[in-house]
Amino acid sequence: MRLLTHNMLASNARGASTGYPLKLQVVKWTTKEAEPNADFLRGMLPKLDWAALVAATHSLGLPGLLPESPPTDAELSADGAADDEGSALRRLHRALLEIHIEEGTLVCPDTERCFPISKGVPNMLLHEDEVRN
Amino acid sequence: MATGLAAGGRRLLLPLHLRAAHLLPPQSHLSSSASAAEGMDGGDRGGGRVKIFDRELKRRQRDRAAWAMGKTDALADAVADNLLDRLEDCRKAFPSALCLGGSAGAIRRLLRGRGGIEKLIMMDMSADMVRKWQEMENATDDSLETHFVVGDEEYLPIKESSQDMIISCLGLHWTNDLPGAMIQCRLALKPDGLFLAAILGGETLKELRIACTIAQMEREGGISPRMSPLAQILKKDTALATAAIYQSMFGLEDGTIPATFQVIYMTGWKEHPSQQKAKRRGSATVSFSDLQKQFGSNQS
Repeated sequence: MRLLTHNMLASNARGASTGYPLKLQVVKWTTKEAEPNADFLRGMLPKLDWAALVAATHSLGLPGLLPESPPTDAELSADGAADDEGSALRRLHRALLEIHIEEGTLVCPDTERCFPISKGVPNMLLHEDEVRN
Repeated sequence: MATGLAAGGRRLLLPLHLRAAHLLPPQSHLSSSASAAEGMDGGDRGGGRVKIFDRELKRRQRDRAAWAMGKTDALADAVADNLLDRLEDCRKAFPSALCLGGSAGAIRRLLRGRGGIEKLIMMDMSADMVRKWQEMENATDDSLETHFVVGDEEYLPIKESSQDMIISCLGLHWTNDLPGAMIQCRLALKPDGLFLAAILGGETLKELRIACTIAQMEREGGISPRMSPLAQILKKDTALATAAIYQSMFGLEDGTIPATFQVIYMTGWKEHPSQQKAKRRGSATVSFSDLQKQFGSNQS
C-alpha cells in the first residue's frame, strides 16, 4: 500500500464519526524506485489531505521527508526538480509513490478498530456486527 | 445524483422488493410489505436490514472464482467494453478513479487510456481476487498507477469527496442494499464526479430459471420460490432433469444452448454548480405553437 492510497481510505466501523485519517502502524515497508511524473503530482496535490500525508510519513519514522505545508506549483515545476534528490517534487514523489507499506496496521481514529495490511494490500472488511449504522 | 441514476435506481427497487418478499418465512408474510419497504429506502441499515445475499458466503465464492478466473472472459469483456465506451462520450478527464468488485479485472484490461485515469484503486471484498488482479497487473506494462484495497462496497472505506470516478462492472447486483451502496459512492465522489455501473438484470439466465422451475415441479412436486437472481444448487435428479429440459426447450441444432444475460447500465453525476439546471417553471418566452409555425405546417 502506498501513502497515496492511505490518503483516501476511511474507516466505516460502528461509532466512527469521520473515520479519517487512519493511523498508520508500520511493521515492514520498502522503497521501490519509480520515475517521477511532475504533471501527475501537480494534479494530485489539490486532492491530498496534506496533514494526513505528513502524519503518515511521521509514523514511518521519516519526519523530515515532507514540509508542514504543501509545496507550491512553482516548487514542483522548478527546473531540474526531477533530477534533484532534495527537491520538493522528488520528496513528494517518494512519499506518495515510492514507499510501499508491506505489513502493518491501519487504526480507526475514532474506534481504534484495526485493519491489517498484508502483503501490501490493506483489508478494510468489517464483521457484520461492527459496521456503522 | 443526476436524474439518470435516480431513474436507474428506482427501476431496480421493484425486483429487490420481490426478491425480499420471496425470502421471508411464511409466518412473517403479514409484515413482509412493511419490512421490504423499509429496506427499499436504504435507510434501514443494521438490525432489521433485509438480507438477500450472505455477503460472507459471497466473499468465499469470490475467493474461489479468483482461482478459476481465466485471462479473458467474453461476457465480462463485452460488458466492460460497453461500459468504458461511455467514457469516450465525455470530454472530462477522471484522474483518480475507483473500480469496484465484479469484473474489475476486465475493466483494467480494457481501459486502454480511456477517461484520462492516472490513478486507479481496485477494490474487492475477496482478498484472493485482489491478489489475482495484482498478479495480472505485474504482467501489464502501461504506466497507470494501480492500487489495491480489500473492502466491501456495502461499507465503502473511501474518504468523502475523494474520487473523480467510481466504476463498477457486474458487481453491484450482489449487494443487499443497492441504493445504500450507490449513496456511499456518491459521497465518495467529488462534485461533478461520475458513477458508472453495469449490473445483471432480472432477465439474466431466464432459460436456466425456466428449466429449473419445470424440473422442480416434475421431480419434487412444487417449486420453491427461493431463487435469488442467480441459480442455486438443486438435488441431483432435479439438476439432471433441468439439464434435459434446458436442452430440449432452448437447445440449438448444433447442440449448444443459449443463455440470456440482461445488463442494466447506469450513469450518474454528482451535483456541481456548473451542471445544467432545469429552467424555472413558467419562464419560457416562446410558445411551442409559435415554434411549429417556424418549422412550417407539415403536420395537421
